[in-house]
Formats: sequence, C-alpha cells, structure tokens
Amino acid sequence: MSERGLTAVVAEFATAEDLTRAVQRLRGAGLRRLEAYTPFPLPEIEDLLIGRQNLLPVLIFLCGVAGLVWGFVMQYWGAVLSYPINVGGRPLDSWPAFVPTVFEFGVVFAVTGGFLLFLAFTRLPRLHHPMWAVPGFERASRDGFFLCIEAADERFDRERIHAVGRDCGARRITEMG
Amino acid sequence: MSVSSTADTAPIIAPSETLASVTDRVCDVVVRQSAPLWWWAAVGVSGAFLVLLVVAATVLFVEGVGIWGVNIPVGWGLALANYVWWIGIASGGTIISALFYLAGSEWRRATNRIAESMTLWGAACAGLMPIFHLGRQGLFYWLFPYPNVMGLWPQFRSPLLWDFFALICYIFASILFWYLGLIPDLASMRDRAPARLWRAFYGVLAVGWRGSSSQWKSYRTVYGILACLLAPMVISVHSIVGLDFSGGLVPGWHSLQFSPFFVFGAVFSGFATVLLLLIPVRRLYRLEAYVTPRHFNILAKLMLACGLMLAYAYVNELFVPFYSGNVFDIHMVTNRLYGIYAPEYWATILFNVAVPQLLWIPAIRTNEIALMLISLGVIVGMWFERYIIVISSLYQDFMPSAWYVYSATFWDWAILFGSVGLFFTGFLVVLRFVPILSLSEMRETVHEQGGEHR
Repeated sequence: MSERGLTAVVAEFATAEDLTRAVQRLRGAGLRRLEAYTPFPLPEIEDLLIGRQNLLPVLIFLCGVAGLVWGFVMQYWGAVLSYPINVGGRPLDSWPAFVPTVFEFGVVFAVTGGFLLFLAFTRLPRLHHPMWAVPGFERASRDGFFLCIEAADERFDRERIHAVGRDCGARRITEMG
Repeated sequence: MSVSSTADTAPIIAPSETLASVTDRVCDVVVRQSAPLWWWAAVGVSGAFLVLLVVAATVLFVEGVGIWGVNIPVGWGLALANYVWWIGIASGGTIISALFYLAGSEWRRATNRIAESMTLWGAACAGLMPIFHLGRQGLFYWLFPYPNVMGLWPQFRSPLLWDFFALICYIFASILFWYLGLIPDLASMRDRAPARLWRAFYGVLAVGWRGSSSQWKSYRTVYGILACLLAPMVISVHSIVGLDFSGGLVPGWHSLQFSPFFVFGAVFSGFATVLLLLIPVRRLYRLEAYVTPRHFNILAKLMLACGLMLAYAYVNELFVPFYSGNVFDIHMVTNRLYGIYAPEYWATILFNVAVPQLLWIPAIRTNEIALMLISLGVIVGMWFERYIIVISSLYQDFMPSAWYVYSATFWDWAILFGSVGLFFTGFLVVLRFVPILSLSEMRETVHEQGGEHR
C-alpha cells in the first residue's frame, strides 16, 4: 500500500496519554511497523509495541555464570595446578577462600556483559538515523512524544493515519520522503 | 511540629514544573551558560590540592615510603586509613543510587547523579591509596593474575587480594552504571546544546540515543539488573575491606563484626557526603524546585539511622574484649579510651555518635547550615574512626620493646589533602559537563504528577 516516495509518517504528541491512545488505535488497526520516541520510558507503550518477551535478563545471567566459572577456574589453576604451594598445611583447593573473588568476577562479567548487550540490543552506537531529519525531533529528549509509522507496513494507509493523529491531538504530522 | 509536617509533606518536585522546564533548567547551566565565577574559584582551590597530590606522589615514588611516619609495628599508616575512608564514601553513593532504585524511592531521582559521581571520584581516590602504600609502586601490576615469566600467581587466599579484585571490579562496574544512566541525559544535552562543537561532543557520548521504545525497554531492563548487581556488590566490597582487618591477628582488627561494622560506616559517610555536596549544588545551580526540604529530611533521617547502627557497632567493639576476657584485647580497648590516641577516639565518638543525635530535632533536618556542619563532622569523624582502627591497633603490639608512637608527617597529610583535591576537582568537572540530576527520571516524576497538562 506504500505510496510513491513516502517512507514514513511521523506524528508528534504533547502528552504520553495522546501518544498511548494513538498507538492503541493503530495497533488495533493491525499496523506492525510502529516505533514511539519518548523523553522517558513508558512501559505500557513498550508492551503494546514490542510485547513482553525479553531475552536480556537470561543473557546477562549467562554472562554472570561465565564470570563465576572463569573466576573459579582462574584461581584453581593458579593455586592448585600451575603453582601448588603448601601454605601452613592448608588444602590446595581451599575453595571457600576463593569465593569472594568468584563473586566479584561473576558480578563484573554480568555488568560488563549487560552493558555490551544493551548496546547490541539498542543497535548503538549509531551516530546517524533518519529520525533526526524529522522537524522538531530534538524535543523527543525533552517534552515531545513521537510516533513513527513506516510506509513499508502492509496496512499503511496515509489518510487513516492522519485521521488517527488528528483525533488523538497530534501537535504536528510530518511525511518523510 | 509544623516544621516536621512541612518537610514530610513538601512536594518531591515543585508543582509548577513541566517536562521542558526540568530539562531546560538542568541542561542550560551546562550548555548555555558559561562557567560561573564560583566554579573557577572552586577549581582553583581544589586544583591546587590536586597539584599537592601530584607532588606528594612524585616525592613518594622517588624517595619511597620512608617519607611517611610509618615504621614497624605501625606498617599501615595514613594511606590505609585514607583508603578505607574513601572507599566508604564511594560505597555510600552506590547504596543511594542502586539500593534505593530497587526500593523505588522517588527522592533518589534528584540525588543519584550526585551520589554516583561522588562514588566514581571517591573510588578513584581509594584506588590510589593502596598503590601509594606499596613499597615498590611500579610493581603493583603483580597483583593481576596474568601468566608471567616467573611462573607465579597471586595469593588467592589472602583478603588483601580479594580486596584488589573487589576494588577493581567495583570501580569498573561503577563507571558502567554511571555511564549507562547518563546516556539518555547526554542525548538531551546533545539536542539542547546551541554550539555545533558541543552537539558533536555530547552526540558522540550519547552514542546516538533516540529514546525509541525498544531502546527504553533494553535500557530499563539493563539498568534494573545493574542496580540489582551493584547493590550486593557494594556490600561485598566494603565487607572485604573489613576482612582485610579481620584477617589480621592484631587485637582491634581480629573481629568478626568488621564486615557489617564497615558497611554501616560506609553508608553513614556516604549520606553525609551526599548532603555536603547536594546542599551547595542546589543553591549554586538554583535547583530548589527539584531538591526540596523533603529530600533533606529523608537523607538526614537515613544518616541518623546509619549513625545509630554504627554506634551499636562501637558499643559492641567495647563490650566484646571484656566479655572474652582476652588480656591483649582489653589492653587495646582501654588504651584506645585513655591512651595516647584517646583524643582521636573521642573525636570519633563526638562526631559520629553524639552530634548526629541533633538530627532527632525536625527543624535541624531541614536547616541547611546545620546539616552541612553535621555532615562535615561525620566525614571528619569517619576519618578519625579509620585512623583509630588502623593506628591504635598497631602501635602497641605483642612485644612491648617494639612499641612505637606513630605520627603523620607532612607527606602523609599531603597525600590525604591532595586526594581531597582530586575528589573535588573531579566532581567539579562532572558538575560542569553532565546534567547533575537524572533528567529522564526527573521527567518521569513530572509525568507522574501530571506535568504535561500544564
């Protein structure tokens, strides 16, 4: 249904409630290729647009487990296998004494992995993006709530999107070529 | 009682604030106004102390630790007291930003950036101290477990090595936590900066943040998980610092209570430092709408609670030697109370236990001058506490012929005051280049209070 030369329609709203209503109506009409840009997180819109599934916690947990394992293997290698030294008759594999370091390794692997996964999931760093061509988009980090509807969507209907935008009190509707 | 009720019911943010006004007020002091005179004056003073640190460190590296007052049996001098003091201040900042994030406390949103910045620079100062303290500073990298030609590994069973890993992991994790929280705010700065150069500067730092809902979803998930990880981590870090001491056989150190005792003290000094920084920053940056008497009241109450927990640990510290009947422990404790370091001991009690009791009075909890003085007292008192723990436990060891009275030299003090210079210089740089309140979270507060409809 995409029209010649039109890639997306972007509507700007003044409040989170207006944006949420517009998202609800467009999702109700079966549109898929929607993205909202807001100055602070809005969990209800995330649920509408992306759903509740979230891989991140599992992946970060695995990073933490890798850190725990690595922390233990490193110490076991150093104290038992590579350079076994008798300290006051203590067992070489004195694992309780390894626990604090194992814990710190687990945490730091999870934190580092979490940060890197954050960059991967948000596709950052990316210093240019078509959205920045939208007039007034700098307000998305201040007090503007933007909704971008891609023309590539199967159910894209320009007139209808304009109507929904007007009904929901859009401050401005921009067509991106 | 009227004072108390206004502090308890004061809004968390002034009711006239909007999404735009929050963003503009906090961004504009940084991107649209040149640095004020007080900022240059403060940088001048703290920069002078930073120079002192550089000089003291240089002399130390050239001459060795003999320029300090340390001598056997007092092998741990001011550097170690400073270390524990700084890591305590740093830990307090993480507690505020991570633990109270998990608790969902609204008041945290106006204070977490200050607390986290304080953590970064406090941890930096702390990290320097053990390196200074090494006899051969250039070989500090031997602490890293790397495959080396000597075929040796560090002693993984030693609390001192646990401490090395804890500190280095903690500093790294704190930097990432601080930066992750900053990314959406750096995007606000990018969009608000009038000059192209600054737009580019903040644009690169913001790594292209757009605030799309998929980005926010990942952000919220990762930020929450990092907070969950940092809260136990900070407890573990300061507990391990406590184990550095517990692991020694010296009376006054060899105590099971050290880990929680140190954590209480850390959080206590953290709240004090946040108050000491928050009160002037609020006035100088005109943030009265976002930091209200309610914030002071809550922070003061928390500081009082931590002070009481710490007082409990002090009582325990006096009680246990007599309960155990160990003559060395009893000697150590009576020596602390009446010996040559008694003035420092009683200063600790005065600043950490006696004076903070003023915080029971509601009017004091919202009086900025009183709060600053009490907080400053707590910070000084906490330094004395660490001085007492380190020095007074060591100077009379089991062999009376080796007893030695430690007194700090000029270079000892130069390291301490120089590190204060490093802390404030770093904090002032943060103050000048990043939004000092968490903008995205403040906007959430405005939203929750219906701020878009004004």
